[in-house]
Amino acid sequence: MKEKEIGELFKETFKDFKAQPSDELWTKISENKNLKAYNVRKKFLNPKTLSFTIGSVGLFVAALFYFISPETKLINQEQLPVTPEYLQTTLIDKDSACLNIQAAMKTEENNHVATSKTRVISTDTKSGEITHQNSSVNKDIADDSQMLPSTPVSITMIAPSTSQDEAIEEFIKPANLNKPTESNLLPIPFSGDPHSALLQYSRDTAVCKNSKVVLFVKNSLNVQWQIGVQATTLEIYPEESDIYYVDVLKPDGKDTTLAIRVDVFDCGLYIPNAFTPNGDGINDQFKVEAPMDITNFTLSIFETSGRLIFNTHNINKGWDGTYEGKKSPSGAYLYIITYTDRIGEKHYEKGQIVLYR
Amino acid sequence: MINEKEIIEGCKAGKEKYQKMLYQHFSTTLMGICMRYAKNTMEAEDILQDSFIKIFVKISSFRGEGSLEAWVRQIAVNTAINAYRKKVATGYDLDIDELQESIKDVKVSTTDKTTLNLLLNFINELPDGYRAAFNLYEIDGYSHKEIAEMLGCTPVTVRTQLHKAKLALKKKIETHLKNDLEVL
Repeated sequence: MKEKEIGELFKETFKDFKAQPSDELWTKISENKNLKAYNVRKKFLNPKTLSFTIGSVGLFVAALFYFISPETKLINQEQLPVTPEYLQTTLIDKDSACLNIQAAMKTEENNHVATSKTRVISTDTKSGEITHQNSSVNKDIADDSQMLPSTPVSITMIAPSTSQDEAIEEFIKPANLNKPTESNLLPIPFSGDPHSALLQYSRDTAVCKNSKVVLFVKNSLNVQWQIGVQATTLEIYPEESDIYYVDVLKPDGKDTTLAIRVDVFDCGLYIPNAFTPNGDGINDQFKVEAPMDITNFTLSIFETSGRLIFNTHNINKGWDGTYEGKKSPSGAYLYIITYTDRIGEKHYEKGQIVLYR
Repeated sequence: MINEKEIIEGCKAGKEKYQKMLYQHFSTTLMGICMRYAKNTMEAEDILQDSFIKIFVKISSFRGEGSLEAWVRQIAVNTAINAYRKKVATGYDLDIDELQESIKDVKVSTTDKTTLNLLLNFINELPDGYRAAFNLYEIDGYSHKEIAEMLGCTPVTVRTQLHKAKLALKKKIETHLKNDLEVL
């Protein structure tokens, strides 16, 4: 099978692949608090709902105002009862603001433009004329101001312009804030913060042959070991010394290649397989040699029958081929050696030695 | 027949009824995508959930220029890749045992006999990086360069990963075929 065929096989198989998610998943999604908050906001800012609510409130206040005598209208502001006046101004503001929100939603323009539009309208209404004083007014605004003289024209005459502007701005806020808050809702896209941490990685290291080494790279955005593994850690059982190269994406976004050197030593014991306890000074003892520091050493020697005939914890002590003062006969014996090596790993070795006399 | 336009408008207004309709319409398609990009069903459902929330929140920016399906698919793929990148960055993907497991010969349960389930198993067992690259290139048809940008690595790395992914898949398939023959 060729590589290309594999690609094609999978492509063909998964082109229209569908799978059934579990039944609870929809509940999980619909109860997600970000989504719920989003839905509530959307409903509140829905242009139809908004204009309907405000429109009805507006009608109500306009009707209320109708019953206030014309004399009251012309009386100085300070003498007016506080509440109705406040209602009046907000009524106008809301009405015009509402239209503006619609316009803003239509054109998706920013806060600044929306606010300037409302200012234009408020000047228009204040002077009681429906004219376009601002030359930069666009068509939307023209439409809006033509729609204005339904109810509020007479009311606007007494509305103080400052509070009007304030009210407008205050009211417009949610509509214009809509955009940033919406993006706040989105799952935060992954981005490595360049200042959050420095790149860390394994030091050069020395280990026993075939023992486990875990090399790591921390705080990198992407880690690709050149031996073909993509993971932040690399577990190896090296047989010989080597340098491991790894491509990483540093926290500052730059690619770099690190080199981690792993030196491998032969930590195994030297265990002879035969000895000659004949007193000639050569190879008279069965003695184990360790190239490195080891601890918890135990050497036990058994006869083939299974009887323990020698036991020591001292690596420098060897077996001289005797048991209870008597020379053991030539033949095969068994040994068991246990020890802990320099890196704390426990070893257990057993085998056979031959005694020649 | 579902009126797509109506659903989009409903979703844009944040109405749950329409969101549910959209979910029902696309959940199986997107789950299919998520299953390919994830290691297991649990991971796939997490990605699917995130994808749908993203879809509902972002649908106001959907202009209707392409098809809705292409758009939601794109979001699912992007969400899956984001999840993968997050995993790499947080070092969550430390499970070396799993990685070695995946390199080892695959044991296929006898109940999953269909080719599709088998191949899906093979994909799921790939190391995350291989799986992402393989899915993006071979099945979803992105270019090497695009994938490199999505995964935050070089195009060369993408090629290497693709190559290795295919080798691993090939080995899995061959082992499987051999085992099958032995059984027979």
